[in-house]
Amino acid sequence: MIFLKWISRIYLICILLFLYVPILVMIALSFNESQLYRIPIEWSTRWYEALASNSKLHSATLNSLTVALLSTCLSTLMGTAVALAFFRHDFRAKRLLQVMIFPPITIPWLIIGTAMLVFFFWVGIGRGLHAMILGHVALSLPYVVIVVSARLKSFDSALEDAAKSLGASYWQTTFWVTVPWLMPGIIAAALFAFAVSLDQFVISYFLAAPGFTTLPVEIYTAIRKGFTPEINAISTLVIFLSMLLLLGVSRFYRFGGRN
Amino acid sequence: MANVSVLNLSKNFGTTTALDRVSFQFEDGKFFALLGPSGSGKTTLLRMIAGFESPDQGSIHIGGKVVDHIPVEKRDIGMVFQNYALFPNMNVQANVGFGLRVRGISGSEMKRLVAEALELVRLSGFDNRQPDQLSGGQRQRVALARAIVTKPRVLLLDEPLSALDRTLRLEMEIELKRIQRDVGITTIFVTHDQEEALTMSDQIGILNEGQLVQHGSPVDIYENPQSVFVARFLGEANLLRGQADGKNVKLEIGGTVKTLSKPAYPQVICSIRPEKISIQKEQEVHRSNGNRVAGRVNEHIFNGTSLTYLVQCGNLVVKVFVQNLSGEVIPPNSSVHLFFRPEDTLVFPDA
Ligand SMILES: Nc1ncnc2c1ncn2[C@@H]1O[C@H](COP(=O)(O)OP(=O)(O)O)[C@@H](O)[C@H]1O
Ligand SMILES: [Mg+2]
Repeated sequence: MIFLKWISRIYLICILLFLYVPILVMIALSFNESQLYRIPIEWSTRWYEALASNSKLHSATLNSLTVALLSTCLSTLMGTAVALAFFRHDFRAKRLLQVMIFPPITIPWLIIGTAMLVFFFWVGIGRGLHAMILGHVALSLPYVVIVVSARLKSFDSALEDAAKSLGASYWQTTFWVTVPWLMPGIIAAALFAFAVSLDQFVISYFLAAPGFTTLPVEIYTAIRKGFTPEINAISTLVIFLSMLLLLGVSRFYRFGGRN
Repeated sequence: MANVSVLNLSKNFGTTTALDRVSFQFEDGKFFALLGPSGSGKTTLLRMIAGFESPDQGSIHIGGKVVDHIPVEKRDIGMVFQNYALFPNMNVQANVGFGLRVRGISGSEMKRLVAEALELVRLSGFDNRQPDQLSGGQRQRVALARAIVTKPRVLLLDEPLSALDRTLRLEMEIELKRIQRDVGITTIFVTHDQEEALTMSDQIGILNEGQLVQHGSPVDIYENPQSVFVARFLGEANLLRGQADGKNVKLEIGGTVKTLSKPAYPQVICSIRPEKISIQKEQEVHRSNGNRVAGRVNEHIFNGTSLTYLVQCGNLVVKVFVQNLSGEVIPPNSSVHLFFRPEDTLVFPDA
């Protein structure tokens, strides 16, 4: 038993190392004076200063945030409505619809991205901001539906009945009773959607237009042209933002089990 | 306030028949209990009156007007749910004031009406508590205050006391009855607890398998059940099988008895309430009029004010309740005779 316990501990440590060592190395190197990864590390904020004057990265960051914000609003709104519809109503093909929400999670992004690109060109939407927002909404929608539905599982529908018996209309019931109760789930879902959009590369890459890129796309382009520790610096910032988001999610959403 | 009538209501869920041609008139200001075993259609009937379910057939009137096409929120009802269904994100005041807020009543007027309702249920000063800071009985009261604060035309309660423990339940029965009398609201109360139905209501309707099998005042139904089902479901009854023998019934356990009405079927069941039977030791028998059955005492249960005897008569155990008048107890294995009046011997066809 003790042997097993140790094995599992070592296993856990290995996983954590595997996950975090590359990230830690990158963070450390972003503070290194040398461009050539010379060791020992000489402390410097040089690369962060360089970021401050990199206007390409600035506009890409701004684009990323714009797309994330707008697509989050849309997908949270739509996804919550979908989850509510599934919860409240029984209708023909409900099961089928529930399953059909998920392909964005299961189908490779490369394929979805190609499909979107082809489709958007075909119907005349093209590439750029609006195309990317549409793409990101489609991607984050299933996450929103899953998270909000999970919260709805413990919702007592007698609360809605009670509201109606007291004279509340459909919308009053929704916005005074159901939505306030769902709020932690909705916030968690929105943070999820925001993170999904912010981290998205493949689809953004396909839908980026000349003069409109997002941060991950810009980083990729920069790496292809030649790596500078500036990339380490911006990546470090992105990591911290993502971690913050994750903290936000865990504040509102229970990852499995109770905590 | 208003009277409510349901006419010929039927409802099927797939192949189950939840309600089968139920007609009933709930009179203005009275307290009604809908009593029946689990699955008999009580909740379905109540939810239909509220408007949560629509009948397959039949119609519902509230205050003399057809409400069949009026949605729940426009029916002007108050409802108390089995698990109270208090809004967890609102405090007591907001919960009770919800129906007022919906009607556009706010500010001091709202506060005044909420305070009034809370006083009625004896919860003054609880305004700022959250629902999870209340005991079961208090939640119950908040739910009740919330349901009546808008002065609805009819109050609907679906087994509101079943989640409470026994002492609290008895206390709430009295409270609920008092509040109903004070407010004078037409009340329909669903329960599967016969004692609750008997003690609280002006009228009882008994449901079985989706049908309204009998209705009337508690005393009327208790004294004059129209079927074996009702006799057994409301109160206790000793059921004795027998064969019609002219005007009398020949019991399977031996003996011939006279019944309230002339047996109209060859195979019958006689029903006698345990408290309508008197018991005497064989040696001391001094009564001879009325019906008589011989038996032997199996055991007795003594609980101070009364005694319950279980008497073996043939292959049947007959229950007898006796008031503890003399303080004497007939010991087990004594041979006894049971006496009961023909008026108390109801006769039903043996299905
Ligand atoms: N929504 C529903 N779907 C399917 N069957 C139902 C539904 N509601 C009630 N029933 C069935 O209808 C019958 C009556 O139910 P109900 O009115 O809840 O009984 P009660 O309240 O007396 O226990 C039961 O057999 C029950 O299973
Ligand atoms: Mg029920």
